Amino acid sequence: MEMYVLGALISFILGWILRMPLFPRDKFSFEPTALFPTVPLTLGFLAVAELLLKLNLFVTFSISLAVPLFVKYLLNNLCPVVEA
Amino acid sequence: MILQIIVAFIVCWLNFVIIDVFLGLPERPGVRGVRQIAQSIKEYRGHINGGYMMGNIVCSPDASAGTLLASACYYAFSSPLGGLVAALAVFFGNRICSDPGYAGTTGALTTTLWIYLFSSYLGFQPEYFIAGMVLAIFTIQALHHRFSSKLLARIAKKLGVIE
Amino acid sequence: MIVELIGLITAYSAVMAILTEDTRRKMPYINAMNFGVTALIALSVKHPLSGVAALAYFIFSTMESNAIASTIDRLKEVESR
Repeated sequence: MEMYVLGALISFILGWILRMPLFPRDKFSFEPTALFPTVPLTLGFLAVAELLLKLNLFVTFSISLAVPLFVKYLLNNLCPVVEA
Repeated sequence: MILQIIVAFIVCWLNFVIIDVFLGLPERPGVRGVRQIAQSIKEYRGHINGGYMMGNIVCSPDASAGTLLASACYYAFSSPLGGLVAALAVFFGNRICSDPGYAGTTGALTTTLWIYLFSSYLGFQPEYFIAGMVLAIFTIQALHHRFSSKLLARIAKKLGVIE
Repeated sequence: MIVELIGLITAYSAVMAILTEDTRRKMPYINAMNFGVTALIALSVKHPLSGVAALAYFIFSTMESNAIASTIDRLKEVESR
């Protein structure tokens, strides 16, 4: 439980340092922000890590440092936005 | 047990309808095919905004899918971690279907919270929530399209999402 | 009892999808059927892999519905031209 709170806080703060906007602008924007795709993705990857191997401080730190970088630089290449 | 399934049905219905309406599903079609489904529901004398919401539920995993998959993974993993894994999978499914993914992820996380509270304080099992969610999507998508689209449009008007 | 209830709902949705004439209005019935099948997969065995199978089945069935719906839209556009 503490690991999840710690990981969410670290990824939110790192997203803020990487100059992503803090909150989504409206309900239809695809722009990655520090709150929306970052924090749920961190929680999901931490859950996968806890199921596959035991969760300790090192794993929590490395996942929550990697996820904001992934969201900022790689997400739009992995899932490109197709406008209707 | 029947009473518990009915309570789970009410919780799931309110959860996914309120999140979907608030996050803008009845406002506009998200992808191309939604327009045709809404048009056919309108030709069946339903409401066009309810048709948009039903088409959006068909065409990308939204809060309804988040609710079902979070309860299914909670049951399969027998711990709240399943809900978080479901939120991750629903987010990537949403992005592949060219949807921003706010509704699905929020739905999965809130459902995990509800199941955790209900199972630790009231003794509910996660399979009641699976049955309740299947019943809820049955009332929206398969029971009576004219009535359900008008009901969804009325709820959206009452919450102030569409005029 | 839960499995029988979900199976009944799934069978009703499938029959209604066959009986409806309008192709575009079959899609919500097929979606309700997919929800039922996902629940049956998840309830079959209580193991983490059945949860992963349910996730994969539902997300890819939704992508398939997405593709069918946009194909219908494209066909209507060609017809109206």
